[in-house]
Amino acid sequence: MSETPNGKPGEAVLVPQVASMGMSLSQDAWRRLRKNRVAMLSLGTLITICVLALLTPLLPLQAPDRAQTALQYEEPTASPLWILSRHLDEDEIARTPALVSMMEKELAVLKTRYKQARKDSIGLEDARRQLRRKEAEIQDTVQAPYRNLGYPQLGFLSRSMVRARFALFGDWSINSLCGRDILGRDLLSRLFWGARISLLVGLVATIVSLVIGVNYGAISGYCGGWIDDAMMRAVDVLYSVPFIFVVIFLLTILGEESIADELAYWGINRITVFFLVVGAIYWLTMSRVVRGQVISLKHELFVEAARSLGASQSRIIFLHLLPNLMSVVLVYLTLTIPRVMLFEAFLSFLGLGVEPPDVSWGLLANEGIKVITPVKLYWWLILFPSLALGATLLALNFLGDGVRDALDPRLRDT
Amino acid sequence: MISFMLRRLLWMAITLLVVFTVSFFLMRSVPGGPFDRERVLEPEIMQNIEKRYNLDKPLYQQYLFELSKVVRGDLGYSYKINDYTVNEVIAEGLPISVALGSLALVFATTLGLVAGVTSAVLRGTWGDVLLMLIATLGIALPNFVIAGICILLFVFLIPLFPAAGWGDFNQLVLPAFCLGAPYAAYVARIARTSMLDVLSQDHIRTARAKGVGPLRLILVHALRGALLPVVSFLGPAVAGILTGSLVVEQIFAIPGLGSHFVQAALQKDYTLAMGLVLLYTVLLYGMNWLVDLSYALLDPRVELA
Amino acid sequence: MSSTSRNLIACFLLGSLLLTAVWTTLGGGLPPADFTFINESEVKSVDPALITGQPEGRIAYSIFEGLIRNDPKTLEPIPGVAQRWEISEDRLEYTFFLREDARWSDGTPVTAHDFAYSWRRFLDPRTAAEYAYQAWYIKNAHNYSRGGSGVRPGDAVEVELNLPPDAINTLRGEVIYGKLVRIVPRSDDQRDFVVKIAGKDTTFRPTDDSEAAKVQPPNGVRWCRQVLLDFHEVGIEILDDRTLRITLENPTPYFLGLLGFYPLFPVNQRCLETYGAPAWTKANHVVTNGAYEIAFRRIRDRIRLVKSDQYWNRENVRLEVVDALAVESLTTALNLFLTDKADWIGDVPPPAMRELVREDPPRNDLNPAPFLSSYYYLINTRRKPLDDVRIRRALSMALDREEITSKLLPAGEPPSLSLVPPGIEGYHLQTAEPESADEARRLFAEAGYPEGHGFPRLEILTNTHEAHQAIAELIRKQWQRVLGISVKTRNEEWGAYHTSMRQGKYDIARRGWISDYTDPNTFLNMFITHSEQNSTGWSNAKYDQFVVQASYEVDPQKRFRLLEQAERILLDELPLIPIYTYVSKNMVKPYVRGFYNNVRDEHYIWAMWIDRSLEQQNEFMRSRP
Repeated sequence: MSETPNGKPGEAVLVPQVASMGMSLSQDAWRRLRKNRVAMLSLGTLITICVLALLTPLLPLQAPDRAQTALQYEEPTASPLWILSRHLDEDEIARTPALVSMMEKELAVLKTRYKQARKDSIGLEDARRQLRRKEAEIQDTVQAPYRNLGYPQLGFLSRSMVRARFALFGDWSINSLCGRDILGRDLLSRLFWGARISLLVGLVATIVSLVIGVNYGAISGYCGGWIDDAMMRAVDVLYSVPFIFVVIFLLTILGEESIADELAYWGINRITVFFLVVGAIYWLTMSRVVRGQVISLKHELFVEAARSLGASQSRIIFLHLLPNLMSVVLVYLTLTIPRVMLFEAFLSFLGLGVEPPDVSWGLLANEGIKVITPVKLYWWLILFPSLALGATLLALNFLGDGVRDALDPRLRDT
Repeated sequence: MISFMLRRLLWMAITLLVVFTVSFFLMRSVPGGPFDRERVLEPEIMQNIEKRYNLDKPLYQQYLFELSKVVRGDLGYSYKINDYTVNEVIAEGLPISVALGSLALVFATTLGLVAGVTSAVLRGTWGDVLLMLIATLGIALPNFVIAGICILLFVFLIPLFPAAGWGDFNQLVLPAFCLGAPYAAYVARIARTSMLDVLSQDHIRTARAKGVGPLRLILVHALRGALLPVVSFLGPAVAGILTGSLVVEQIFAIPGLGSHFVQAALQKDYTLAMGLVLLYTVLLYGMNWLVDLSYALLDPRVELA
Repeated sequence: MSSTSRNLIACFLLGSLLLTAVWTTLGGGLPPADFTFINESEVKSVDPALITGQPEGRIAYSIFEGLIRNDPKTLEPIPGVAQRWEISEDRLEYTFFLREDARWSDGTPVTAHDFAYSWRRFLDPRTAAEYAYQAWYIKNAHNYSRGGSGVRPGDAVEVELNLPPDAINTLRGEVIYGKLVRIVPRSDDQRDFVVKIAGKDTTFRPTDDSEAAKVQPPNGVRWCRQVLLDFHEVGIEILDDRTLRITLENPTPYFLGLLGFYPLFPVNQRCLETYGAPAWTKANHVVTNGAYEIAFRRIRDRIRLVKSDQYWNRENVRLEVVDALAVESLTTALNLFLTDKADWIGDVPPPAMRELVREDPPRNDLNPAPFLSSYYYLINTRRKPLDDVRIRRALSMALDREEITSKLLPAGEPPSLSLVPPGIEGYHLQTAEPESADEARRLFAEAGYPEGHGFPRLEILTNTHEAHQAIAELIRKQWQRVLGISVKTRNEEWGAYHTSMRQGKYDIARRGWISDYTDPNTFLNMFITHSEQNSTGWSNAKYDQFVVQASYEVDPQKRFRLLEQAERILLDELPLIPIYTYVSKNMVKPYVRGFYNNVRDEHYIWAMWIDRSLEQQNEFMRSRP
């Protein structure tokens, strides 16, 4: 676990001088950042990882969830470099639209029935269950050709990318450079698919917290007076709530079958809950920092000018103040993403992370830790996930340092 | 000073109330009540139990009833471990977690300070880069990975420590190290930065010009200035170590509060889980308060407000 | 404040931290135990009436003793608290003669009264013992444990009156005896009982003590705790302090074995009624009658057992101090074993087992052996379309059990197509239809789901355990591959998983069963309609009839034929999918003696000892069940 949101890191420290902030400053900062070789290397690494993660379905990898028990615990191997994998059933994909449109008609019928049931408030439970079942059925039909190949649930874009991958590379895929796990699944492709989820979790949860934190802080700082007082008191109270415990508590409660079903109906799975909950926790520090910034900014000349020109309050907050918070936000982003990713790994360790067939680096690292015994080391299962996670977080940390130094050399480590 | 403490206490009470309320209603929203037995109960028996525990009353009355019990310090029985009350579980687990946590904190500060100061003194050399790389890696790897590697290294490869368990000091070293490692890394980074800062200040230059030896210069003159940011990091570090012990206690089979909580939450032992959440809230408040206090004692510029 | 004093404070803070750490650990130092074993999870309780799991059992067998004990090797009944017994011709009456020197740990003798007290408590619906059905073979015991639902007008009944709400919760209220006249239902879960006592009709209404103390009952009604069948009707009879007669409903060939099973162990009345529940189970309160006493218990750490100086057979108990460690992680347990911190572990993580069984020369501390047990998946037949037998058959046929056992179960677990495992003498193995992917697909198409189209998503529920999760993953893949359906897996911690199962909140759930006694009935009894274990919703009148008929049958051969017919129905209808038979995975240090592989993988601490001078193989390595 990395640092928790319960402390108060950086509050007094992240108060850059803002007097001369503007376009010239960010250009200046960029220039400085470019000179920092470690930071640029980290940035390069991160961009590469992100692009690869994004393009994973296109890459000639084996399917991440395809079990080949005959190859159980195969060591990393590069010879031959290319192996034949299973064939994508184009015919079945071609058949699905017809099937789906048929089911959608049935779905429409069920929907009207559901609405009717809601109006009459009889048989509501039953109607809803049928509706859900039909929706799941459509989803399953669309996914079937991919699922049979060993892909997790795919979105529309990923599905076309997988089809493109088979068009481009045929049935060839890279051999298991990183070895195989207990079910004979290819670790290399699992790492790539895991990257998608791990990065997504880090990014989305951070952005959620960012949106909450920046708005909360900006409003609090801008309004001042008793509103500010009350809002900051609330933050103080929340700081002392042991959130990790609350999250675990919440995730176990939401994992209860009937509640999980209900949530699944609304399209909320465990990852979504995770985004929301983590986002709702990590905004505390952000809001404090932003508030401090806004208080010092709001007496600046350009704000006074806007106010005298009759700009509305919200206009001032969102158009004039928020853009000037970019530097803080950037630093914060690079600090929070690694924390969130570690938190996800931690939850995976407890079995509360992503659910199979999805994978994340945390889940892979946890699977690796489980097979570490003094009797036999399946070293690849722990080495590669740790490397992937470690390299990404290392790069994020170095980039964060670099960004902070570039934006204001006087800013300190937190 | 006294009003500062009183205000803190008041806010703590409010926080606890919020945490309790939220947990209570979350618990009750889950299907299956606290007296779900494995066996189907006779209707009379079930009814008797409901009456005894006020489950037949409206929800708000149950809430008030439970609240009054918690206020009196009675956290009730564990749902899953029949022989224990929540208070007893806490009484057994707390000293263990405190021991583990304080040793981890000692590791974090001493290792971190030494590494940070060394790194600052060696500034720009390979030693500096290596130390900082290790420190950043300590931040970048999940706790359980570090623990797994440590067990392999120091239990089997070089048999220095026992693999798991609780009882003597030896069994505490490895888990405390794993728990403290990321915070040692943070401390090292902070200490390095502030040390570099102090080293460039005038009074150090003057001292150096006066011919003060390098060791004395660092330990007596520079370290003092570098200590302050480290102390201010202790608040988050304590919080992190408290919660980080969840993983470490699991891996090393240490019967502290962390493993009790994880087990309670996963087993849906809601009374125990809620009791522990409340306890942790108090602990966090206490720790934050202590850190603020020590910060005020150490830095004359800080006023307690 | 001066800078020196500030420095002092900083040093003081750090120093006090270190001191706390050292101080708290100094108190934790323990003298080592003679024998240490890994007892998996924290035990739920040490009250023998309330427990069900294996870890709890290991403790219960050490600290309590029933009328009989099981031989550690053959598990045949050998004398325990009862020195000898007589069984009547019709096999319905058992008379036990208790030994003179059986003592509780507080020095008082163990008498027939203790057993009557313990069994009444065990059957009392207020105790809500999960294993209560193990005593239902005793005459009228079932009706007694059903409380108000078990009595009919005309029955002799006992009425338990209320006590003050602050009375010790193990105390029984005053009991008055009478004859039930009629039952007056008031609502779904309330009824009044009109009881004739000394020629006078009185109406009793069950309620909780707190209400009875606060609220006046309506006119003509008396409060009571509960109305039960008169316990004198139950086939438990005290002939004198040392003689106990038990009358059974049916001749039950395995009844003697059941008495050696922990739910029927005695508890100490004085201890229970002094401290109340659950305080009586505290190490400093609990009074036991077995080979060991609890020295202390540290939650999620260990239970320390010390040899009892009151136990009648103490000369033959050789381990003085024993530690039972609560370690959940299999890897941690293995680490402790390999670093000589534990002498016996009951399970090994599968990846390590893979290597351990292949070692050459073979290890001298590992000897996997099959035992009477079964690993299977329950199907919730209440949920559509799992109520269709074709679907259930197809799910079973679509499995590739050989792939599961050969790849995921390295200890050599045999694949299985039956519920009752092989190894019970005289019982013919019954099997479900053989695996066939084509036939499975055909059945699916016939049931209306060609190539799995339109089949709802299935969820497999397992408890959190590396091996179970891996098996569920592979089965998910096999079903997806063969049937084209979409399957999910979900895992829950043991306690939560148990609750989900009981409440029928699953589609398909993993289950394992280890025989409680050496008889097919221990498996087949679970699937009769009203069994507490039958959470599948499956019910078959003919099946029930065969199982019940078997319980009346005196001829063992005919009895087995009836049970075989029952299992035949079960395996045709398949409310469960058999997968494999367990193999014991104990690792035992070569110097541990008196440890045997046996048919229930049950091992008694009181039979073990340590002999470091041993040169040849110990009993464990030599024994096969």
